[in-house]
Amino acid sequence: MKGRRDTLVVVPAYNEEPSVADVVSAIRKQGWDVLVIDDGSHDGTSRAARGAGAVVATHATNLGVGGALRTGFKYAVTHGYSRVVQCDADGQHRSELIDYLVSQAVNSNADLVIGSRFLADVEGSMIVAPHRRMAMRWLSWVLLRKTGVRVHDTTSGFKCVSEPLLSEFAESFPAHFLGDTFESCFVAARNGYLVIEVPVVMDERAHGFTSASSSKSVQYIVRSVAAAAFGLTFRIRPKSSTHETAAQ
Amino acid sequence: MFALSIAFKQAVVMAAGGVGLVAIAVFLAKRQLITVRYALGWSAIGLTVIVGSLLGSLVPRLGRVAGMTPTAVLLALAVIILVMISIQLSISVSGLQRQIRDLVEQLALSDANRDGVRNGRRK
Repeated sequence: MKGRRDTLVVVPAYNEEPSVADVVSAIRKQGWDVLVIDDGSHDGTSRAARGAGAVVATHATNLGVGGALRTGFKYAVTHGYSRVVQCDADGQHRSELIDYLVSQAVNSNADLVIGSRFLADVEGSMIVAPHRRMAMRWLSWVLLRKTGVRVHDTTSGFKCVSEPLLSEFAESFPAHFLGDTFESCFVAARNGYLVIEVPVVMDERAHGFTSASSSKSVQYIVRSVAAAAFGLTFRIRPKSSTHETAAQ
Repeated sequence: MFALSIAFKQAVVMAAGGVGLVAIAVFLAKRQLITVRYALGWSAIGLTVIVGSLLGSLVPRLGRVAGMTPTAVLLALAVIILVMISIQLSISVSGLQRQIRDLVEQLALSDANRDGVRNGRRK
């Protein structure tokens, strides 16, 4: 039971009515506070999440995962949480592993802990489509070249963000397509925050379909590489300057 | 003589285009399809085109200076103006997207705060 009171589990959800209640119940059973961001769903996502006991923030229109997460980060900072665990609403992420992510963050002092499905040598973990896997390998290489940080699962949505990075993300986290994955790792590592990757097992989606496709993978690679090469990423303060501010 | 008549025709087309632009801008503003700010901007461009067409020798003179035909000068000016307007509109749309995002976010946070208070779980 590490850091239960300081940690908020943020669940971005878009049209996840069939699965969100089970996800919320499982997380609450572990003793975590849960915030569901209903990102402009057309179904009963908000009602289902609220019924399962989550606090719900409802976006009037769809902003994408990045926009949903920024709302979650802002809520966490405003309410005094020092850590946020991001968890999908489709049942891919196992709630019992949240404790493991938080423990890794606490023990290693990491600002960003990424749960990787590629480090887990376990039967039954989810299978990633070849085009998506190729895109991830490419981005992993770019990240290593540009920051010296090796992350295999660059599009993982199972992450733990701790202060002071949490406050920085609350201010400037990007809403554009998949800016919440590779770009956030890149920006954090580039600004001196400690980024680590730990093995986790992920399951197949309980309901619905993934938004990833071949064309989106190509779009993602082009956009991410261009952003990294030309410095078009979102901006946060370097970790060293957040320490100075805290000292004052 | 032939060159002069081409210049005259171009002046007439320019003037007609300018008048048309002002008329469309006023029409759209009256129907409240664009704001007065944008109607004034488009009208200013239309009036500039009309004034340019009245100064008949301006375009051929510019063409001689730039080493271009009068038609090429007109096309280049039109392209430059349209590109500038597109860039300005991109800036406006980006700003609006940011504002919408902030507004959606604020509403959602108020929603969550109410939810938290109701559940008695506010930290």
